[in-house]
Amino acid sequence: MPFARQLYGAAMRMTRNPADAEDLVQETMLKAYRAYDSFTEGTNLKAWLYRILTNTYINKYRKAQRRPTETDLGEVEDLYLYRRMGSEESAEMSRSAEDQLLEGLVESDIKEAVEALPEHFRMPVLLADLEGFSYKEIAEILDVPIGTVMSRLHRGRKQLQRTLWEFASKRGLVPDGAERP
Amino acid sequence: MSEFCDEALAEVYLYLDRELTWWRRRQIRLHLEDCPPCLQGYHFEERLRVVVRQRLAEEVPQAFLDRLNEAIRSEQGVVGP
Repeated sequence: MPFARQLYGAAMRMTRNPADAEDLVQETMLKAYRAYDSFTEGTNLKAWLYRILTNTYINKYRKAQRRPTETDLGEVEDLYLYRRMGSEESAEMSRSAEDQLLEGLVESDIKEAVEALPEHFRMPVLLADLEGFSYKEIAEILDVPIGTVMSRLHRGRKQLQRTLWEFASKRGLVPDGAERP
Repeated sequence: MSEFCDEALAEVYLYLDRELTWWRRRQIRLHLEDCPPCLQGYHFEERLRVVVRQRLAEEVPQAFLDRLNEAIRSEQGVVGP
């Protein structure tokens, strides 16, 4: 069941717990079976399944969720993490500091950072960075204009990097002389 | 650093997402060949993305897959052929 395996990863990050993720995937798969007649052959089956997944999540689970707060991203620039890693002496991050950061951010850091994103950022980030959908596909799955996808994805990634920076800093993965959060 | 650096860095996600036109993609690629600082930034973003994707991977419980198979099978018994 390749699709169920794939859907489960996204479902875990949406619901934030295995029991709800299992329910969500099961409901999605059953809805897909029942609605298979409405699926147009030759169109994108994976995107269609993720649309069912997303809608099911929004209708059923969202109400019960705690809502992560949106941080003010006014000051957060592009390549946030990368720019933070540079020390005062050298603007560019050394390769070893880069390795240390990327190896040191453990699974739970990445998962927590994604789960901490507000939902309207988390969904496009998951669909793009975990599932590899194009902007157009994400726009169809989430039923929002492509420009909205782009701006949410952009801001979502910035916020993700800012959270990762905080984790990295706590774990001592930040080189001496680099700017602290 | 050149005047093009800001432009190139502003488009790092569009580039990595493969959402640029081939012409723009080519312009950026040519710039990266000549600009080690921008290239390093691009590499970092690319590596970060791989790390994020790998560490978000979830092991799906076999017991769940079995239950799901069962649920789909009984569903097929109801509406299927």
